Amino acid sequence: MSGLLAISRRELRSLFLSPVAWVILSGMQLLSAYLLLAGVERYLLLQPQLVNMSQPPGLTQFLIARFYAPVSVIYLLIIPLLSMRLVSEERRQNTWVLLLTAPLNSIEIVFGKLLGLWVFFLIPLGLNALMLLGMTVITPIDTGAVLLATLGAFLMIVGVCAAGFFFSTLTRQPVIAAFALYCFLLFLWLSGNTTRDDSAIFYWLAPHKHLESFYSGLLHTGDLGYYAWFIAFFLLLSVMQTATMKGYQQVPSAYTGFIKSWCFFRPLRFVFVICLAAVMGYFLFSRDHWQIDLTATQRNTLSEASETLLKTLQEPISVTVYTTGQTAPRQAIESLVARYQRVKSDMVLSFVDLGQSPALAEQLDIQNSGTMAIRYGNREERLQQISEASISQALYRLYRDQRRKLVFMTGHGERDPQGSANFDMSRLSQRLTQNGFEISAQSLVTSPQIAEDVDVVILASPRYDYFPGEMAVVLDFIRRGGNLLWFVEPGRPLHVEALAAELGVKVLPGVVIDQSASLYGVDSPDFALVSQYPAHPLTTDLRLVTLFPQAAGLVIQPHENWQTTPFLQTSQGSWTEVNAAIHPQTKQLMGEIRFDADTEERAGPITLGATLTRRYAEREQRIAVLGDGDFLSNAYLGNGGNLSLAQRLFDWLVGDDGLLKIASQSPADSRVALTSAQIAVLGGLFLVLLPVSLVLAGLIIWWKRRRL
Amino acid sequence: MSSAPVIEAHGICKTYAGQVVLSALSLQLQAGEVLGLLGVNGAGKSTTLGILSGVISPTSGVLKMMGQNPYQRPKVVQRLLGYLPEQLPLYPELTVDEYLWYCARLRGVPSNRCSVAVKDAKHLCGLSSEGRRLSRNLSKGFQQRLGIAQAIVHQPKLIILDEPSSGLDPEQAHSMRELISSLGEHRSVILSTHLLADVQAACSRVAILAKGRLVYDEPIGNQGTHRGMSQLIVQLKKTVTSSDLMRAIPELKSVHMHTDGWLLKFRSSEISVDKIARCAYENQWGLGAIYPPAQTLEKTFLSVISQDNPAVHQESESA
Repeated sequence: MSGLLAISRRELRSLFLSPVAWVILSGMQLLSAYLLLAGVERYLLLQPQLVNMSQPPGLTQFLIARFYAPVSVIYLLIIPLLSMRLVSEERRQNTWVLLLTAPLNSIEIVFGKLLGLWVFFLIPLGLNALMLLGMTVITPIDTGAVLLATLGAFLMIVGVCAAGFFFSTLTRQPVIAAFALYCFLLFLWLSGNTTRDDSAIFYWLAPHKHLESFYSGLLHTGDLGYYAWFIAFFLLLSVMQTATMKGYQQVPSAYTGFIKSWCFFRPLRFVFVICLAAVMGYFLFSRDHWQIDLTATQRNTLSEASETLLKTLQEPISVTVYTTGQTAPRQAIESLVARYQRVKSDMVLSFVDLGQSPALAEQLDIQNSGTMAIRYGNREERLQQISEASISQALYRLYRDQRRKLVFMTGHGERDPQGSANFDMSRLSQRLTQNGFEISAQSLVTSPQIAEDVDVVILASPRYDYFPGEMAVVLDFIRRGGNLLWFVEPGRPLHVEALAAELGVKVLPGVVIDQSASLYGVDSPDFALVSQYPAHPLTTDLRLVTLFPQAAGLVIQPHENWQTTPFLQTSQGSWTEVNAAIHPQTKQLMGEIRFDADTEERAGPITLGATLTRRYAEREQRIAVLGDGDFLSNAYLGNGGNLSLAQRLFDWLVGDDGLLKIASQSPADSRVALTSAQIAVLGGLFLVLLPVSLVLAGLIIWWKRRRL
Repeated sequence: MSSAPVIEAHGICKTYAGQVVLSALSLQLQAGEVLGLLGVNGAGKSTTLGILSGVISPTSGVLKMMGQNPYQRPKVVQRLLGYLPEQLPLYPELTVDEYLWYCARLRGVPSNRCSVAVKDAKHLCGLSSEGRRLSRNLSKGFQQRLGIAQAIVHQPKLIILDEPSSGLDPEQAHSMRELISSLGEHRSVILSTHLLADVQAACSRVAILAKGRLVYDEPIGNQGTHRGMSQLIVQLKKTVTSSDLMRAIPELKSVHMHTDGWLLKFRSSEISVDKIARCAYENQWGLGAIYPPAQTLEKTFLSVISQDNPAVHQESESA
């Protein structure tokens, strides 16, 4: 053991005494810092669009995909340059003799030499991980995903270094050793890219294909097995090859016999051994496997919501994927559907090749290869983008025997469900439609009846008074047990006073001011934040912060039969500001902002949202009143957990209690608010300070030792 | 301590790609001996030392080192063995201290004893003041000393030196000889060289290799009595011609006039001094003295080599 450690220490020492290591480290740091910062910039740029995705990637996942993948290519380029020296260089310097005559067996020699190299590569890997994890100071980062990506990259490095050692034992010329390793890696790389069929052996052989699971936060036994095979195989070859070089060593006779007795060209024998092992490894490790999801939001595991949904589905589900040729990533789809099949065993997956029967494509009206058709009962949903969210949502839509109908009242300056202005709610409607809601707008002037099958009526911040006749229709709807969602805005009349009286809703004067908002980097004091939710079925397990721009406080004193429960409350450091008022044009808060206990200002916690329920005709009638409608508007829907809250709100209102959690959770690191100063600090640290200090360290060591 | 030979080699053979480099080499080295291995270039000296030190594996043969079979217990043997290959195994980027420390750790010297071991090795090889210098900046003589220092840093029982004094100037070569003799005081040493002076100054025994075979193996000082040395110097008072001598002694191969007397060379190696004395008496040559010519190592070497190599034979004849 002491000899092994002596070898690895010498290996590291020689690396760091020459400028080579420092130049490599600083170059890698420069490149990876650039990739990282470019990724951050890109994420900030794309962030508004990402919110619209069904399962938006968090910053961590986005960065890992755009940062670790190219960085691992850089590693593949650098490893041969260092691994070629392992044996070839020692043989050229004749120092290999020291190892051959030392009381060490070949295992100790191989591990000693490789350990030095592995430890060396831990430094840039550690720097990469530290850069990502260090960003937690300013923005949330998914630690599990970062550590797993680092593990994946390290496994690849360990394996490729072992391969490098083996190639280095074959020749005295370091350049030939490096070139052979490059050729080998390039072959694996290209072979992995020749096919998109991920069950093919060439696909399986490519190391970078097995990094994908690590980079997406999944600990996948198949990929672990691949690397275990890769590492073990090349370690074994290296040990055997080293053993043949030792004068005293008794080489295992099978290997000696094989190496020495076969009479055809020696490199061909190694090609044969490598191919044999490849096929063996493929059959051992490419089949059954399981996986552990290490991401913070369990983004790779079937969510509890999907599971709940599956359990409510009684009939069998059939899933058909229509492909042309071999373009569909079959294995990826199979593993995705397998997650469902684990919960629901009568879910059947099949693939249909439309290339065989073009007529069928026409008959079924399928334009795109890779279309997934999900059948439940006698209904079918077709998907182009295949993800857990899209499959679950399709199942959800199939399960809802009828579409839930939401009606937005119009004609009084309400928010338009189809309008794309900041104030309007088209983004919300789009998401709700995907979730199986049918959304329409109705003016009570032109059609003074609310249909019987309407599930929820929405009063989205009316700006003009309802006519008494219109008001009567709304009140009648409520008295008949209809569900209602009502947004109230601060600093202006309600315009539906009769409704407020009917429900016992009072609006506190003034705008809610929340000091805790500044903790989350929100500049405006009139943004209220909710991070702790009162116990309510609507917000169970909701851990995301929701943001309410310019909200009003509510006080609800319901009449008999009605129960009220608040579900949104601000923190202690908030109050309703009366002295300052919202400017009607600029929407800015004007005036002195200060809590004044003597006036009608109220100190927090302030209720921003509450529900009213009562039994009506054997079911629960549900009404939700919120002191703000902006949080679901196009401008703010993407902020924090606003979208999650919206999906829960509507599911609760229509009575789909069991499915409240179907709303896909956006990861905590999907909200990134980095100021340009913070990016500049990151850039200065990662892109300038670290590489420069690495080069300086190398220069100092070189300068000090030059004269010894 | 057991009195088992440090090296016991029997019938060691080595072939490279069908070419025989060593054939049936048998060699013994007793504890405390310093054996000089002589031979022309390509005679198989380095191969022999490589096999002994475990760098090269022999094609066949039996080897016992320190009473152990090195192929079964390599670690035990290698811990007691120091080897200096022909090309110095130096890391140019390490200092003398770092390098020796590494070598000591490599051979299993415990870390708390390393600094003492390094200090001792440096002291013995005259490197005490060079500890902080880079090995690439050392002179050739000091590099060679460093090579020996790495071979002895772990206090081996057997030291194998391959051409320790190649490339040294005469003064360095002289101090190298002194170093080797001092090593031989406590350890067994086997060294190969083509400098005969090294062997004469430092070795207690000499072995000569020619074309992969061991052709000579005797203690230093025994050279004259060797079976190959079938020569005698005879001083005669009466004047005789060489043809007289050739006629009178039929076993003679040739006769030369020597500064001290007649140099008789015999066909066979069985020299009968009695017979020559009787012959001198019968012919009344006036025998003054009979003694073997004082053989130098060089002469021994050349004459041993000449038996295998006609070109060397011619040279030695004309000399």
